[in-house]
Amino acid sequence: MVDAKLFVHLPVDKPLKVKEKEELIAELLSAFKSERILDAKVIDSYYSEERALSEPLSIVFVILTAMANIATIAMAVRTFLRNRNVKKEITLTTETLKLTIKGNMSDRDIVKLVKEYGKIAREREE
Amino acid sequence: MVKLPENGKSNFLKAFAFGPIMFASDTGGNIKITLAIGNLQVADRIISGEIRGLSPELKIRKWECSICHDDFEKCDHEVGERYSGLECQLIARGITFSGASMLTVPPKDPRCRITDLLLIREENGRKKLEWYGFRVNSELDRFRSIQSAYDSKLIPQEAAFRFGEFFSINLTGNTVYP
Repeated sequence: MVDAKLFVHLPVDKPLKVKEKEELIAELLSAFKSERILDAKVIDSYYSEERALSEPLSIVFVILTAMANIATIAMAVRTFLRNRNVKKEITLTTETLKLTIKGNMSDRDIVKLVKEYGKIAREREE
Repeated sequence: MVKLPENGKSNFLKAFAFGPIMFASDTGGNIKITLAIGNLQVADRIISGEIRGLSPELKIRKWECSICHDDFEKCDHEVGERYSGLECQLIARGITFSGASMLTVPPKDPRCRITDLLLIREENGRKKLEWYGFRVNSELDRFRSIQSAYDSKLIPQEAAFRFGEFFSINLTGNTVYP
């Protein structure tokens, strides 16, 4: 299995204080653990701003894991959103995929989403 | 409508969008980009005008607090609160340009938009180039985009001349080479 580098973009109103960031990382990793992704670790974080949009600021967590497929990872992110009651959708990107995940998504929705993206990625390669 | 080749294989056609993505607030100077478009339906949506705005994606490593000038993550001040009459504000530090997005909604700065689109087809082993010119902020912008396509070796010199000639007469429109 190959290490996957994931970028989780979480919209924030303002930059976070150290303690807030630590809490967020702990919750994120706990959500990964609940989906049995035990090796996930946050290796970097930064802020990302889309200058032209009205909700521009996101904190980006760079996560490294080798233990899961993308659907399980997306489910972990969904669990994180549910636990935290985050209303906003968040984006999960890998080298090949960009998934928009919402807290109200079912496992089925996620599998469908991943399949759809996988199909598009394959079509691009062909 | 961008017509795909009859066999439907999209790799016979490449598309590149050009336009300014960020303007300096004081001088009006700007950063222009060239975007390679992977999904040809996107090229279609650019031509129709559905996608036109551009947005820069910035990566910010550090925020400075305007009160203590320390790392905002580590200091005790809160954004928007007043301290000795001064409002706490954030100063972005360590900014890098990390990419660009195309928008279906108008960008905050209406000057940041796709001004040109180049389509490259290969038909029977020969390249056919099509240049779409949309509304520009200044006449020179168009020629700079054509020059940029030539400098990046996307188009040969003759095509650059042909496109330049066309757009010296027409402000907007599309033209084909050869």
